[in-house]
Amino acid sequence: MNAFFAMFKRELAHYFTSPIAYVVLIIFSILSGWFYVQGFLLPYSLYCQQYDMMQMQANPMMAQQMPAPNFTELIVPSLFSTFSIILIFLVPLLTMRLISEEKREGTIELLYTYPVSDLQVILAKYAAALVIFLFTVLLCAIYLYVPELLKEGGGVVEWRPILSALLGYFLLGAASISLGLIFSAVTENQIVSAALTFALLLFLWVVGWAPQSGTVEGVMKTLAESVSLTDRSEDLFKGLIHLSDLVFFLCVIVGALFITMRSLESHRWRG
Amino acid sequence: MIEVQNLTKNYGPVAAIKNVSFEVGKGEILGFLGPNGAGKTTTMRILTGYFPATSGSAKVAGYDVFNQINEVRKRIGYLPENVPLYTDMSVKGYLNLAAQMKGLSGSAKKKAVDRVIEEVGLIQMRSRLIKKLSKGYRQRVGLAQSLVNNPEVLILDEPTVGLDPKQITDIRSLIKHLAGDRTVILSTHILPEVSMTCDKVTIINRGQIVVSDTLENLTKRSTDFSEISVLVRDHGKDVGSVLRGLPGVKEVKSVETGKDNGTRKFDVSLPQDEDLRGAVAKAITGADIELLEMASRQVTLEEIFIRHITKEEDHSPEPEANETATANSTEEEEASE
Ligand SMILES: Nc1ncnc2c1ncn2[C@@H]1O[C@H](COP(=O)(O)OP(=O)(O)OP(=O)(O)O)[C@@H](O)[C@H]1O
Ligand SMILES: [Mg+2]
Repeated sequence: MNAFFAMFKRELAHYFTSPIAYVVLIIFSILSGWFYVQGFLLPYSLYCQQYDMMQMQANPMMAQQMPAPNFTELIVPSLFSTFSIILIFLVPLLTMRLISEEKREGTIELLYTYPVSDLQVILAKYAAALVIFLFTVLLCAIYLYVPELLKEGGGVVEWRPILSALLGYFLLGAASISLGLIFSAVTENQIVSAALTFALLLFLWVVGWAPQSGTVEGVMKTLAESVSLTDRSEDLFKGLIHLSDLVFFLCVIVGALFITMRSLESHRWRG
Repeated sequence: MIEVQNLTKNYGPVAAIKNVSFEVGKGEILGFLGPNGAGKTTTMRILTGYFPATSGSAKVAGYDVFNQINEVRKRIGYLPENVPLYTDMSVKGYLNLAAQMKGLSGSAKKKAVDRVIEEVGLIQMRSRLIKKLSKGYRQRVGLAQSLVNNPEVLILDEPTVGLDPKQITDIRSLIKHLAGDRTVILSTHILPEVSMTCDKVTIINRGQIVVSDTLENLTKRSTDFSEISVLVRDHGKDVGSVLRGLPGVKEVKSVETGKDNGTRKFDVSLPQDEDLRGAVAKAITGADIELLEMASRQVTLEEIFIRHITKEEDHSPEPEANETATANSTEEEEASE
């Protein structure tokens, strides 16, 4: 435990001195902020104004065509879908150096000869990356709270679906980071590590399009549907929590950490 | 304290070390000597549990390196060859991390870190970033890191490589001082290092132990009176035949001729069991030759090293057809490096 916290602290500090943490968080804030304000918040308030106007005119016909503005339904799922695409670009930055740098610099040699298990080291590094990622979750939570402040009397935001969406976003990020960790363990080159992570995450996103476009069928279709990380989180974004989705994410995380561990071990056996 | 038996490590088809065996007693400093690519680092990495050997066994501090590696790790300090450190950290921060990785916490950790900082002479540099330290000070941080768990066994891989002469002497005396009653293995390809710091020497070449003995025995063996050199001014006389005419003289070799001042130098081999130095001196002066100098030839470690290594190579000219292929490929690799 001692060793875990020591390593965790070092990795976290390194994120800020390196300064990957600032880069990632600033990029995320700018991109997500832009999408949020420009793509969602402004259209939403426009919609609310129009809706209010309709109500005032008391035109029953028109009012029926225009459903009441529901922030959670209208905005939250597509907002998080957009954020999960930003993640595809940012997760490789978070994970690329975690283990590959230790390999390149040779510091892993000392780690191997300390009385600590590989698992402790891997978990410490994973946890540090998760903490940086959690800052973006926090930012998302703030975004979701803003409409509550804007509207007098509040009541815009429904908490259950929003917590579900945040959970979905968190699991998606946590799974992506665990996948990135594998690639930082298999190469000592950070660029290669980042490129492979990016490629895999991109693939796991686009693979979800195949079933919708109807180009694949049968087993391939089921497979494509079930491996797409981004698709898996769609239901959570909508506020629908399925046990199967939660289990899926947990399996990805545990599996990825396990592969990372085995890959470190095998390098060691091969020398 | 350290027992190594028949260690072999293969990298694919190439054997980095073959049947390496040696022992180091408690409190001894062993110099692990060998040219580049001999297998020093490989052996040390097995002892520290960085990777396991292909076959053979090793015990460090009473624990088996293969089955009880965690017990071994708690009791050793290791300084790898190129001193890998987290250079973005401060000296103190890094040593705190190392101490915690080695299982220390709280006030024990604080004490240990303060102790090693003082021991290796880093007090002035304690809050400096490691990347801003000179090579010599980085080496000290590496040493401090290895010492922080107060290990029984220290394993140092070429601790003075790449340092300036002043730093080399500083680090050497530091190691000697730190050794105390610890058991130390120190690898090097610099011979004086061994004579200055070590009690025992193990010479390794091409993955095999060539000789393993105490420094005393190794040098004693080669400083008897059977090999002497004489420097004379011959005034045109035939010194060679005078010396060869002496009863008991086995071999006379002319090694040097001083052109201008008429001096000549000879190496003379005498029997081991008889001290013939007096007879040689008498014969020379008796023949009206000026005897300028006479010395028993001190065989340096350098010569032992080279002698053993070349002997080793003489012994193994293409023994089996299938082995030569791998041997050649290692040589090519080394040549291309
Ligand atoms: N990862 C590796 N893969 C393949 N061969 C290796 C590897 N590491 C070392 N070797 C080979 O094993 C042999 C022993 O290497 P080792 O590093 O132990 O030598 P050394 O005595 O430490 O040399 P040096 O004085 O240069 O540090 C060399 O022939 C080297 O080429
Ligand atoms: Mg070496």
